[in-house]
Amino acid sequence: MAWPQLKSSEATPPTTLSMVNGPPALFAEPGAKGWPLSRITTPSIDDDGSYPADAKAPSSGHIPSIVHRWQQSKSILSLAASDGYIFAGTGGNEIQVFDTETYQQVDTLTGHGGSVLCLFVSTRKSLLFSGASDSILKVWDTDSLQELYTIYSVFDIGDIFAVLYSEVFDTVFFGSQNASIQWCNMTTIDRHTSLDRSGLPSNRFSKFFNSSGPGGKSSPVPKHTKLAVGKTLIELPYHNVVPYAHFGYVYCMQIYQPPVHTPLAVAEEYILSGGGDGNVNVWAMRNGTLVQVRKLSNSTSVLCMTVMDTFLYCGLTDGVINIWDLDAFQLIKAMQAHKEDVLSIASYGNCVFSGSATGNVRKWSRDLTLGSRWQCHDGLILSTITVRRANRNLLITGGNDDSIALWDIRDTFPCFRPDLSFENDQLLASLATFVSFRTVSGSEEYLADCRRCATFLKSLLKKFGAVSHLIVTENNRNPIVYGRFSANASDKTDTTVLFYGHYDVIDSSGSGKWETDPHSMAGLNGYLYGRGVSDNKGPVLAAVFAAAELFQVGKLRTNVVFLIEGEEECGSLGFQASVTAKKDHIGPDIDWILLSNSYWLDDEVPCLNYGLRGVIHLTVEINSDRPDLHSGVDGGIDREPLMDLTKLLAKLTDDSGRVLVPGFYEPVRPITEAEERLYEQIGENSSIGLSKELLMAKWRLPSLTVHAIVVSGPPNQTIIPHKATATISLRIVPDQDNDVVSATLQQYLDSQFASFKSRNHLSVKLNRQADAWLGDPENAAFKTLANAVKEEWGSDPLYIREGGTIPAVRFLEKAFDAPAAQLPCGQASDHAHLDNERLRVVNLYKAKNIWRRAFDELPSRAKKVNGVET
Amino acid sequence: MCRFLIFKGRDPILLAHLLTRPEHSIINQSYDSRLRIDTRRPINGDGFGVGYYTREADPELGDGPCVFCATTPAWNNMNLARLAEKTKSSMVFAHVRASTAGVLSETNCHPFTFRSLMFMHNGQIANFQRIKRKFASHMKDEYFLFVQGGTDSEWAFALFLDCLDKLGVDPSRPAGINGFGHEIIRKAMLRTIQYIKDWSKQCSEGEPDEEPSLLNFAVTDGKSVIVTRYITSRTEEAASLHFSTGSKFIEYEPGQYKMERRDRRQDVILVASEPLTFERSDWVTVPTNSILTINKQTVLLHPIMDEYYQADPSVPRSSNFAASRGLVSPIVEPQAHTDVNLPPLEREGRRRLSITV
Repeated sequence: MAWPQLKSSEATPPTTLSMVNGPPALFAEPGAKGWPLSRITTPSIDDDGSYPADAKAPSSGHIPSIVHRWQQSKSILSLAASDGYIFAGTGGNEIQVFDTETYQQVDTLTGHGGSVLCLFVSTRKSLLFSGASDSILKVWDTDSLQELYTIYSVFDIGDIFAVLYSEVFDTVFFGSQNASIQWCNMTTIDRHTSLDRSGLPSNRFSKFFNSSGPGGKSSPVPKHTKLAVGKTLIELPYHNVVPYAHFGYVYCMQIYQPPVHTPLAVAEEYILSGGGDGNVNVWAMRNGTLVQVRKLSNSTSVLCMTVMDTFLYCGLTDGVINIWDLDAFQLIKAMQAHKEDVLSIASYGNCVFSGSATGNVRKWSRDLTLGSRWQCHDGLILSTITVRRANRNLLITGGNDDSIALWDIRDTFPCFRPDLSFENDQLLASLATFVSFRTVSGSEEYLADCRRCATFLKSLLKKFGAVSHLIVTENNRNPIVYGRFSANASDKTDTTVLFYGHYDVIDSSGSGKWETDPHSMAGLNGYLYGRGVSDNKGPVLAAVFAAAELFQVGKLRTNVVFLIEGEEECGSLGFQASVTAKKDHIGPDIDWILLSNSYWLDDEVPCLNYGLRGVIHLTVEINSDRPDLHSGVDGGIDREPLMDLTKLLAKLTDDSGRVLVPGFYEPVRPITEAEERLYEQIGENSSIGLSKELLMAKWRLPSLTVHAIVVSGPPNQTIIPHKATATISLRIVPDQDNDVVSATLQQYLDSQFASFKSRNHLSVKLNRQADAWLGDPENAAFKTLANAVKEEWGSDPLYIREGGTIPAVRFLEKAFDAPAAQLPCGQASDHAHLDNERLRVVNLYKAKNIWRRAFDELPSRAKKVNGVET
Repeated sequence: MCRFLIFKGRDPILLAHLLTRPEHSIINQSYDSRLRIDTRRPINGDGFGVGYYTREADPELGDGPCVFCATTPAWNNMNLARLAEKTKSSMVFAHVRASTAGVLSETNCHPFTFRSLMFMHNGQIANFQRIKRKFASHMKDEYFLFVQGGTDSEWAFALFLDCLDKLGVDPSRPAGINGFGHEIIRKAMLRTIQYIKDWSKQCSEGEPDEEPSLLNFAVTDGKSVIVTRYITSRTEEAASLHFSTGSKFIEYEPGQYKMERRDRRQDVILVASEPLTFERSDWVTVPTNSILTINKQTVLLHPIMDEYYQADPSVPRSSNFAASRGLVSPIVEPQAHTDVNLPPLEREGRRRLSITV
């Protein structure tokens, strides 16, 4: 798939591709070849600045958007792609393997003893060829990622700069530093195998390296040199060589398959090689040897080439791109395309992409009209390829800034796409839009963004076929997005699930520690970075896509209701009232409440969440009737409010930190045997390494925190503040009752303060509170989710709780009389609420798949008998 | 027989990185020459020379190279070590000498210069004394008079200048910002070789066992470099020549260098009689009877296709002649280390560290 442009026009079957290619513009005028056969040099365009005033306006200024970037530690010298993987050859002697679907790094292929300078993939044969500065050519299996052969020459060839494989000849060709081209027939390769390593370039006798110095001292073998290792060795036959194939390094090679009507006549493959001598040599394979057919001379070294139909584009050292007509072997255009070396070039559809030493890529039409230019790398762009995936076209660039970037070039071509796609690519694209809204709740500044985001979500749900509208909340706070996909499968059930999530986020401004723009989603090393990707936009979208996908193919068996609110990070203000008001409309028939708003315990093991603590937020304030005073003037006269407050706060806990509020711990539900087993399972998972006691303290025991003490008056060391305020919260657990706890606490504070006999005044204000939630990990929802998790991740989930609070969960359970279950989507290292929030791409995709399974399999709940769920 | 080294870089390099610091630097080669001519006399101790071009075009400096040479052994010359630590250039020639012809004299030290041009030779013209008169009578007066010393190498340079002149390039004029052009220099070099070859043949008629000439020449106008690896024989191997290119020549630990290849460009180009390092995969052998060109930062490699050319690279050339001249050292297993044969600086622990610290 990496080289679709190399095939003759007859050999490009996919319909989408023919749409992509469009009519062959070059042959539009009958009898004319498109361009005058003369050299045209257009003025140089400044790589760093804008287009000069007299330059032709770009035909389409569209700059491809970045899809993902992988940051490595060594420069990326070469790239190739198979159906499932991208291979990157590095300056660190390795080939890194990435999955194009999940963006995860899958593997690292080692064995070369030098920089991997060139790669080539034969998709049909599932072979990867790699050439390196250790003079070794290796052959790998692109499925198993195992090394098959290590091929070496008997000559001192130096670096291998170019490699290509011809299916017609079943032969791999490679060009080297010593100006030679050599080849190896893969059909007969097994005849030459050997296990004798003595012929390897690093082992064989060399007059210099095996010589002895003064006193018979042998040459040292440098300690840090990693020598190439090989399993199955192939020593190339002596005669498989064209010495001086060029009069310089052989930098690049391409296959050319001329259309049958051309003067070359026979349907044959030709090998094109570009060299440091500025020549492109055309080779034919005759009687088992390479015969030079043509020589095309360019002004300077040919560093890279790409073939489109019968046209050859050569990137040269002085920034020029030459176009050759391979029908007539004529130079038809020379274009000053870049200011510096054109180091890499690739083509796709009607477009040519060239990468230069300045880090810029330029997009050109086939006659080299500039389309757009953009900065891809912070340094040299060393390699560029184009890849076609199921429904997207990618440009992949690698540079000496040690990174690999994927660019979406789909918009380059007017290609047919269905309106609705639920592919992972589309999920990413929608998430990028979703993240771009700055939906910080609790701040007037972002009201408009929140509205726009809610509308976006509503439109998306509608587009996917849901009934969707916004539910307004009191005081005109951020609206709730409602959406309902009604079951439409032939075997639909009467199950209805309610998915709860939120589109608001924590403010990301101010810290300045984000590596990327928090509101422009960035893909890096298999992760998506951006505010809200993990909390909670990504997980919400995964569930929406799962339901939509089933709905669109007519296989949705359950009704799926979405309630996505915009005030979760502010304690879900207004949510309860609005939902209560619209309860009947939202669904009298809800069987299950589902959500995905928490994280795994670590980065490895998938989890299900069955419990959250509740919370009570309080403000405790002590003030005096007098104004702020000077401690030198008035100190010692009276009881000071701040002193009273600290003493009062000290009464809340004993010296060991145990809460002294009467009866505080009494209602805490005793642990059952089944629950204890869940904790033990976590303990058995050694990678997590958290003790049962610690987890219980975090999850199932209540706690009290003093967050802050604020005082009146200026912040200097002589003031006696007249007022001191402490903010306190309690995390509460089943079966503590919010109202009882807060009432007891108030009484306790009042009585303790009374005993101070202070003239100051105490006021305790209850700010907000939320119930704890405890699900039943044995119920059908958890069972269904557990099965789905096992199917997707291949391991049983851990059952976990969380110490935090999501106010809506217990409320929804009560309001709809339906039990809740939570599927954590992201990993522990997601940095929710923090800088550089992220979500692993795999987790997002798997979450979508898990929801799809769950929506398909969740049973309806038996009707309640005497209020007890069965 | 001698050793030479050529550096051309996109950026200037500190001479110490070439001359003194690498484990097998040209100074070390002067007493530990692995591919040396003569095992009986294992030291290139008859002087040395370093020539380099200043970076910026400065009318006061002019366009020619600066050459520093001496008749003392390179390892014993403190001035060389001092200069190497404080001089940078992007175009460097260096040479250590074991005299085969000519006395010990500064006029016999390579590299030789003529205005913008600089020239070195590694090898020998067979029976030079027999054809010296041909040299003298062939060339214009100005090049005949240019010869100062008594080496075959300097005469070869004079002949090269004459060839260049006769190709229409006046070597006494400045080479200018783009140099004379690598094509014309290469052509002049090929003619020089042709004359030497022809004259040797004329003078050796009736002597079938005439020994071949070893003609590894290097010439530069400050912009392009032409280096030959040539022998007037179809069956013998020429004197050694290696090259190495990459993005950076880095010292990864003291004395240990390697050629880093972070991209495919040739920002650093080294050509040397012997590799400067023991990093095998960093060095490529220049094929016998070929001509290596450095044009800007690009290496070109052309075969010299004459009666001594072997089209098939797998036909082995004998190293008998080279071996008989002591060119190839015998394979010796590592033995107990003895200090006896080490040159003084090494033996006394005064090498480099005493200079740099």
